[in-house]
Amino acid sequence: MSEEKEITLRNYFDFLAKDKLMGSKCKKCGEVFVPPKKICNKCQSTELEWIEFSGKGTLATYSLIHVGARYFSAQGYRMGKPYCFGVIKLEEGPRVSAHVVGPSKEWEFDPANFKVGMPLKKKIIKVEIEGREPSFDLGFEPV
Amino acid sequence: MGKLSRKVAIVGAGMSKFGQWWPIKQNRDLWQDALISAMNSVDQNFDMNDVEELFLGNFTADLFNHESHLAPLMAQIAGLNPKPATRFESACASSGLALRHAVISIASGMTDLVLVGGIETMTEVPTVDVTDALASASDTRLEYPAGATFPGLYAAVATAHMHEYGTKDEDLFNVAIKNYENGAQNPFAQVQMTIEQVMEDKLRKAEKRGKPTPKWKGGTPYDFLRSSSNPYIAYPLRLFDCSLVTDGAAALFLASEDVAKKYTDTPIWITGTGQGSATLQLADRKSLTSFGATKAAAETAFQMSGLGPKDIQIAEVHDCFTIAEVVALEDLGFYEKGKAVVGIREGETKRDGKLPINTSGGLKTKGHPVGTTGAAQAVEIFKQMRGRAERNRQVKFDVECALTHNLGGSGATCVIHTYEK
Repeated sequence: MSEEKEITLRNYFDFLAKDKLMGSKCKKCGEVFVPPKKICNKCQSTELEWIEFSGKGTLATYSLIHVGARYFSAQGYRMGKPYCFGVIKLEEGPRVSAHVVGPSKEWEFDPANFKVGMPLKKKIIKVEIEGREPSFDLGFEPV
Repeated sequence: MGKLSRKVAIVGAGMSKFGQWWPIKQNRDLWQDALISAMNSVDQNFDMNDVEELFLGNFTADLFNHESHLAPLMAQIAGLNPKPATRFESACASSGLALRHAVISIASGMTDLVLVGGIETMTEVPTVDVTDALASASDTRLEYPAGATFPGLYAAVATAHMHEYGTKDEDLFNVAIKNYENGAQNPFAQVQMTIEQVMEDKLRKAEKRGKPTPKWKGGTPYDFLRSSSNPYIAYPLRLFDCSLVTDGAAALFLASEDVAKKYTDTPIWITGTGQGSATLQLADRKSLTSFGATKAAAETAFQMSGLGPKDIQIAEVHDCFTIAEVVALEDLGFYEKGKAVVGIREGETKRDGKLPINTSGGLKTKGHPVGTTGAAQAVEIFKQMRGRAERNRQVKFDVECALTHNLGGSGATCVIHTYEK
């Protein structure tokens, strides 16, 4: 069970690979963190427990990146075919960084498809690049 | 709140010419160029034997040059061994931080004369590796899988600023146009051309290569900046919104009030030093249009010096991207939130305006060898306050109070200094 797992970054990513966006909640003051923390930055409590986030949120800000990180050029993005780096405000309060995708790659290239405030939902992206283990990254898509 | 228990002054400051130097010049060559320039700027009695310690800013020679233990090497080049030599790292604020710790050392009474340096040679590796090395100063575990790059992070700040305050791409172009105008007057700058000269240069090259005439021919800088000649790097930021990939070094000699007058009759006093931090991940910040680290560093530096934003006559601010200059002018208290673009549009931040910003050309045209930038900003202030800025770059009034603002990462570190005569 999730309660038995230690709060670590590795375990956060293991949950992502299982389609769960997990964070932690302070048992004393109720503050929530994603990725999870063992120390509450609000009340200094060290009693925190795993919680699952709904995966619903809105686009707080974004950029369509044409000159991308190597990891993304390996996924086929390039000048003229950008990907969307987004900051998403989760309905539970915290924000996360994520790749925002759409129905097709072409959809991602058009700035007109993105608006601050647009509702999004979680979509875990399986990234397969030759020569490395597949990874499961936090992504979002329009509702 | 901290205060300086002893006065600290810059008595010499210089820099190498900024540019893309690899492989013609490497870290130690650029460092010597900067040292010679700084040594020559000391008015009298300079003796390297008087220097007691080296404070060196460098972001990541580890990744750029496979050189990590840089401080003793650069002390060796300066002839300072076996004196203490320490490298400071805080991404693009590395040498601002080195400067701060040199100030603290002198103010504490530990030292009387020290050397502050900044070094970065970025062009030894291909551009994609430069992008990745810079990205290592973001929250790589969380932002890298999301695709963040530095232009991308600042572009996200621009998107939020545009959404919240109605900032337009034209407002950002105004920052670039001004900084090109300033860089054209700086013999140490990487690009010494106004935007109009850049346009002429591009037209000439297109003609020579038999390429079609660009649509913006005969048009304004805005036509050019809005065209495909200025492609998006990270929407909404375009190529000319971004600072440059640069190799360069800078050096400063700092002295205590007890010895400063031995070296010059016109020392430039560092009267305030402030540093702030913020979450490494942009997403975790309370505000996406303002940098908390800047506000915290400014508050400390202003409180220490007794100055306020209204006292500052010129400033070098960290314009790694055009939007960063806009946000800095607001966070430093020079303008209300959302109003900096109006002042910029009306020319207030030009060399002949009421608050000249980045007279050096800024990171935009002087160049941005990341770990060198903080020290290089102080070099420009030293020259301007002593009335010795080259070409037509000197501001037309006597500068009594100035400020430098040096940002690291996407704003997770900020170092601010105030300067007085």
